[in-house]
Amino acid sequence: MGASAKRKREKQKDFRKPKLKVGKAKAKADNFTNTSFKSKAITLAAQSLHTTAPSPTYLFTHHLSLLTHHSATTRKESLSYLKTHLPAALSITTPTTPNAISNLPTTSSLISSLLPLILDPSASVRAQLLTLLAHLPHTHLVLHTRKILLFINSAMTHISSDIRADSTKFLDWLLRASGEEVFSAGGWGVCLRGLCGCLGFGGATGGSGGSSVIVPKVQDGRVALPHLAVLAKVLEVGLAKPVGGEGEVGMGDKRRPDGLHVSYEAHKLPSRSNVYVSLGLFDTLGSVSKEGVLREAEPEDRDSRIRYLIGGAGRGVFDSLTLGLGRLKKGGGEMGRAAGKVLVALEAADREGVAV
Amino acid sequence: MAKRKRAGLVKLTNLPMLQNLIRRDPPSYREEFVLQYRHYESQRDIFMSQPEGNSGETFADLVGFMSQVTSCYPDLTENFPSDLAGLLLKHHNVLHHELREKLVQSLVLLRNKDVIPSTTLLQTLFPILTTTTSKALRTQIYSTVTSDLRSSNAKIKNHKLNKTVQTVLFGLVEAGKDDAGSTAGLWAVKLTRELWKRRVWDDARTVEIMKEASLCANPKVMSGGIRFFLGVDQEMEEQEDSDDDEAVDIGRAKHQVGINKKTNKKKRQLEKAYALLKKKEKNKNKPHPLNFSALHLLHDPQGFAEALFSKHLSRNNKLTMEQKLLVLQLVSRLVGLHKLSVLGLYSYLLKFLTPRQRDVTQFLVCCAQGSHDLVPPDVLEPIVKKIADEFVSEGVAAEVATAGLNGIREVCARAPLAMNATLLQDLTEYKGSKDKGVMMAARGLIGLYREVAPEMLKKKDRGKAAAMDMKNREVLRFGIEKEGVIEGLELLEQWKAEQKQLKKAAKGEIEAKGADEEGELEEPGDSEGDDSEDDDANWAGWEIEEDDSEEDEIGWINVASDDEIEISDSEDESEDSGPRKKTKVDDEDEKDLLGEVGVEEKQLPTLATTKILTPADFAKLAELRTEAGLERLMGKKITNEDAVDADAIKGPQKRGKSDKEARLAAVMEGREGREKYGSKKGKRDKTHSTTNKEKARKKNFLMTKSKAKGKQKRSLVEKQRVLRAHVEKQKKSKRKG
Repeated sequence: MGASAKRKREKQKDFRKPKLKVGKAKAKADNFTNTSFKSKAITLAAQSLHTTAPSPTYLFTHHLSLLTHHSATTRKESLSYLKTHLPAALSITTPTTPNAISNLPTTSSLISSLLPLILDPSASVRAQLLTLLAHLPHTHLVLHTRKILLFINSAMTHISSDIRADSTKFLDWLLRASGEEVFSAGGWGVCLRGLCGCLGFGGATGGSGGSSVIVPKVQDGRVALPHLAVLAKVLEVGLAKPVGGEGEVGMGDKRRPDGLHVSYEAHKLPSRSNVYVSLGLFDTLGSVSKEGVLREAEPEDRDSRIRYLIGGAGRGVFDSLTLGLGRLKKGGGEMGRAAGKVLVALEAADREGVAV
Repeated sequence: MAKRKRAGLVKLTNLPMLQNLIRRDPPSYREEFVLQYRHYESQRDIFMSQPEGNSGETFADLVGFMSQVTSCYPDLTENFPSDLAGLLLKHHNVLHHELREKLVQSLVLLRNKDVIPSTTLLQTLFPILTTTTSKALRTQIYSTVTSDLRSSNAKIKNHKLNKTVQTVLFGLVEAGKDDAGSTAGLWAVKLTRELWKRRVWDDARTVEIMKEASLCANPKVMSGGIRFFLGVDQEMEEQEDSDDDEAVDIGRAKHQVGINKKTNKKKRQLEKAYALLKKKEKNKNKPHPLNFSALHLLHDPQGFAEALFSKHLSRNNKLTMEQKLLVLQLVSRLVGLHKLSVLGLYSYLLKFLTPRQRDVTQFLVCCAQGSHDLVPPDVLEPIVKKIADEFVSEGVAAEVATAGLNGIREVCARAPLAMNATLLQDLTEYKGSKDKGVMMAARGLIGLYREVAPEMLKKKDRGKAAAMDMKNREVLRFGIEKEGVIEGLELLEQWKAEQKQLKKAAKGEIEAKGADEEGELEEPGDSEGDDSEDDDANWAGWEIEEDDSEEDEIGWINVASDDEIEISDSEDESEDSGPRKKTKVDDEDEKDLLGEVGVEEKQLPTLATTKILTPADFAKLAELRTEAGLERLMGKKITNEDAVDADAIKGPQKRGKSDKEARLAAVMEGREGREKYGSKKGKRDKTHSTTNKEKARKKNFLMTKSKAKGKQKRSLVEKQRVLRAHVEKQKKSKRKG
């Protein structure tokens, strides 16, 4: 059986390795089936574009969630993404439709995820945040002033000096964004006390008398100058005379030039948020009145702000500010000049307060 | 100022550093603290605007920092504790768990630093304990509360705090009393029980809380309260035992100090161990703190028992069988202990007394516990009758009959009049039963009635002693209480007399020695042998004694008007032997006393009426009683005050012929924890050097050869001596082993 050499060779052929050569196509296998076909048209049932181009809404939420990432670089990169894309997206849609409908992040969600970064330990993240905030439109920001101020105050009292140094930049931004509204609901005292602390004037103790004798710490000019600038701005915004004040309208006239009643301003709906906060209507019992005394109303307009500084609870802050600024002025130099300017504004307020 | 300069150098970047600096010098860092306090306030406000979800790590750190240093600036941080408490109270359900834990810890820290009083802490935590849904928080608060209460009661009892807390707990229990759905009282019950167990609270107010809890409508609270009464005292003892277990091994500690590296820490450990040991030794001699069981501290037990019965065991009650049984146990225990009369209890029990009833032994236990000698016999008689009819009859299983007979015995031990003679005689017929349990139970019944009313037994069952005793025994009648006797008092009296005599004899001899120098004195050891000699010795002693004190030779007790009660002192009776003798017994009287002990026993011993027995007396009494074998003879006396053991009713349990596995398991269970049988030879349980025996065994043969040779050369006499010695030695060793 199969004794012949030919038969043997045939049998062994199956187990021999085929020789492959460069430049030649591989021999087709014995059981090769040709599956190619021809068609006139190709239809794809489902097409995923997700991998190549996720929707901008998705990207925004994704990057907003990355803001709590543990790595500082990731946070910074997310911020820079938001900075480049978000303002443009907002500016397209905002005027007509609310963000909730257009699937863009709403102002409140933006605020709540961006604000904690004011206290971020990384300096680059804070700088990036500041540029992003500067790029954002200021439309609904006024409503969130209180919350933003809370975070800025927290930064101004932070134990890390870097964060404290950056905090006034955010205050500066807020002043530009919402103007006088910053000082409502206790913002006036908070701003001044915070700045006092940042400048190291020891005004942090508020009304206690012992604080005014503490000598201001020797400050680095680079740190102190921006603070002084912001302080000047705060005073300027807070103590600026209202334009076109209604006080000039004569008592005899019943009508204003625009045809409205003279006392229209007093009777219209308040334009500020949280007007009646000093009444403590929605606070828990006991937090409002301590030992039967109603909490002192926070200064809401210019006159009350001056009163607060001169004769009210802010007297201690005022004293330590004048003391500290006076010393800086005596120190001379660029810092002395800046301090002198601020001091002038304060003294003007003092004079006015005494006159009132 | 030096500190301030350093602060300039050190850049403050983190809270722990500031905390450290503030701790060292609070006034210098006031400004920094104020800044941080404002930071805390702003963080708190931020947090309050959105308390859910986020862990608030920085806020938690700030809270920790504040609670550490707030005691340095009490003027600035008035609001801090109330802030924390408010945050916890208002938002405890939505706060992140880590922050919640931190808040509780901070409050405890403030308490430890005495910033807030204990009451504030407890008033903050209690409402959360009952309302929170988080188990972790509950356990944390629970342990906090208990440890705070323990520590404030550690040295002396803080009555004011206890009172406040107990009032709160009482209010908690009372609030949910009539509401079957409210489990608010559960925590009060748990806490009270824990504190009672640890002996922090042991007063009537605590018991009052539990009393209120056991009358709650909620079955869980109710059973918690009842279980407290039924089992907490035992638990307390167990707790103490387990406390004892953590004893210090001073030898081990010393050894380790000798071997290991000598560090200050090790030294301190040793000192601590010594101190602990010393304290323990001291505590050993201290009298045990007076403690009453919870059942004894109850105010108005009758009212309590009636309320329990009417509230939980009335017809329209939806308690499960187990809960009903718990209530029954407590009611019957109360009835037995305080001899109350809750007549409804017995008719209620009656319907459960059938062999088919589940947990029937427990019901039998309740029957027994609830019976005492002030229950009218006509109320108890139906119970005994029902048990006898249902359990003890021809066609029932041996176990059932055993349980029935034992149950009847337990009832009758407490209220002997519940039985009539015919029934008793019927029941005693079972003493011939082939089943061991039944036979033993019937014998127990016989033994019981031999003691209390032998006339009810058949003549042959009465036994010799009881039959002889029958003449001077009064017939049992309902409502008559026997006057109490101190068992074995006559033994003590007798012993005292003997002691006195001995002392007198000794003294007499000494005086005799001094009086007549010529000798011829009998030593006490010699006098034991001969009666006449003994008499002589006594006489001699007595005569000399009489010389000293002639005025009281008669055998009457001389009762002076002012010092009729004399504190006896059995350790030091030297003054008794002086001339101011109270009891003098003539020799004739002595003889009479010895002769007619039987008659004398009937009379009440005078000792208890003339003297106040000291603890030493009682100790001696106990000793004498055991010596006389009285305890063994009488068996354990059954009283109405003890709880009935269910095992006593079940009788000896026979192991049925179960399958092989079960039997094997039982065998293995018996072997658990016992050493293996067999020779211990060659098995060392402790490392030691080679014994002499081993050495001898391993000794080179050539070295012992000469000795062996010597053995062969022994003479016959020598061999005999050696053999004798060997036999002697064997005997001795056998006796020893």
